Amino acid sequence: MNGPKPTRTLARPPVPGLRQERGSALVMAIFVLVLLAGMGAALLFVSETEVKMSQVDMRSKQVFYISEAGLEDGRETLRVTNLQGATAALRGSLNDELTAAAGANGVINFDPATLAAVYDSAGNVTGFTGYGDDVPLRATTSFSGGKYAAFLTNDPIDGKTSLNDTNDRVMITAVGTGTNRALEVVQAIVERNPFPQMPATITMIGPLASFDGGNSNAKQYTGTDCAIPGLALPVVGTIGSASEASAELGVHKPSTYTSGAATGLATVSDVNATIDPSWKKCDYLHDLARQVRAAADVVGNSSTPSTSLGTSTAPKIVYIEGDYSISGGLDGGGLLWVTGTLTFSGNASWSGVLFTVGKGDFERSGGGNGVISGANLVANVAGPDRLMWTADDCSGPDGVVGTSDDGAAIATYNNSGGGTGLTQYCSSAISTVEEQFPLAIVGFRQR
Amino acid sequence: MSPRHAEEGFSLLELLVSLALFSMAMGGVAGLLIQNSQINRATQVSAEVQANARNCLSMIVAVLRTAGWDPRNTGLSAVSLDPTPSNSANYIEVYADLNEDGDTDDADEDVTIRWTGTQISWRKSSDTSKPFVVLADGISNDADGDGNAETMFVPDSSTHPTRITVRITARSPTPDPRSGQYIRYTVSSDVVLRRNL
Repeated sequence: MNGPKPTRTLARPPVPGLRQERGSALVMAIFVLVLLAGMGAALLFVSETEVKMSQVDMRSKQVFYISEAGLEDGRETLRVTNLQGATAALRGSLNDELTAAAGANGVINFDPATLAAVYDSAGNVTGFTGYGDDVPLRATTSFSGGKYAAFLTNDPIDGKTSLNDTNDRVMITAVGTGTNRALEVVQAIVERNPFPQMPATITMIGPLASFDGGNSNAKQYTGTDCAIPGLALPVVGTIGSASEASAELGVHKPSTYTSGAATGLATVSDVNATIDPSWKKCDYLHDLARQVRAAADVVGNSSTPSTSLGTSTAPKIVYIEGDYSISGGLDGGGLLWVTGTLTFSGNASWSGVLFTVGKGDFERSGGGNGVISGANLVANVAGPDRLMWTADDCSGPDGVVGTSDDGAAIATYNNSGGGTGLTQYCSSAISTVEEQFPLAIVGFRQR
Repeated sequence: MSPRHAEEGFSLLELLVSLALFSMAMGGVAGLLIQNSQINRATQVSAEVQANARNCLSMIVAVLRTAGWDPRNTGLSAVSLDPTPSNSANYIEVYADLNEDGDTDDADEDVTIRWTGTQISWRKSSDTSKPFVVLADGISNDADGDGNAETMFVPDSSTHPTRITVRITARSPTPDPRSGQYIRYTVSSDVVLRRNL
């Protein structure tokens, strides 16, 4: 074993080299460590960008919803302000609200293009600027880590700066801010009237009308308005002459039907040409059902107690899914929407609007002396299965969407019980319901 | 530098053993490094895929939220839906009267958003001769990975939509080398057409 010797001699001279060789393990180790650390850092960096990305995503979503909250707040503020108007004239128009929004100079200065947030030195929002001396519908309000404000202007048809609202439509603009100076502006055009004019005391939508007014000599039907002198609408309004003829079959005591000077069968009219076209559209009624459901104070079903309904002094918007029975003694008020059969006791009274839209079946067979004051609308839009919100809604008798028979089918209004009841048209009761209704959003944009 | 030091040098055997040990250790480290770089790459790709899908979705949702903006009450529709969405292409056309002049003929007022093959693109004009601008590439829209794309815009009703679900699935350009699977990322958003609330 002489081997090691020469190696030793060979290795002898470059001693510093040997030292380097020895140290190289350390160098290598450091090198590897640095490499690993670098990799780790790169990984961290990538996940950091990922976090940042989702933060940006979250911020933009958050600020949008903050601004939308401002819009909703403004919409409700406007409704409540309008509802608090001292006179029916003030409640009946948004002009006073527009004038209030214009501020001291009497001119609407608001312009979404000049609207900006004001920041303090720390970068936090303190308020908004760029709207002159206008009075915000909703002043700067803190909400969910951000701030919002809402402003009122007229709609573009009237001219945004006009103080005269001719079409019951105004525009609400809301601005929202979140963290990192995120800012969002949303606008909505809102409409004061939730539904068009009620065309008759009892409006029956559909190709034919199954109407029965009963055999009582004491029960009265009138289309003469309770409030506006000279206003007289049909007692029964139908769509088309065939429907009118079918409804007339149910008029057993013509002398109990009056509308202004008209009596008897003359109070049953085809309102096809004069009615707001929306009422004839099954889709509109379907949409309206959704709006009522969304706006309702109470959404219930057949087991909802009658104490949950509105009264004539404290009206409510109530939406009932399915059948519903109202027993005697109730003095109800507001809007009641029933998608199933509405069985109404002859002794119960109602002030407001009754929508029996869905299955389209109104039954009031028991005797009694209840007064229904306002307007009724019955429509069968639920399709052959008679169930609302199913695929065959608005599909007509064949149950197939997209065929020529689509729309509302035959609706039923049966008031055949005896007694001294009164069914009358009442525009003031309808107005009370409309004032309860939230302002409908008819347009929405994110700027 | 005394000769004593030289005598303490390594023998060949020592050297070989240390070399073998060192290379074994390094082999392990190298494996770790390779794996590390693969994970790194996969994370990067997945971040890119996510960014792709998210950005695209947020741009589309912003347009859809304003669908049907009709301040002059001209009765314009909010959207036109693709009557025959296929698993290789589908679209939606979104209308909004942004400058409030009563039509949708102006810039950005009539937006057609479409997905074809692997791209989402849009044309923000009613002028059909204008080209589509690509928003995102690498969009497979195949969330379940069964090879068939799903419809990107799903309305709650084909005749009277009030809510539209937008679903975008982005896919990495190449399979992940570790699993052999593509990295997929699905984002979706339910947009309520707010104009009838």
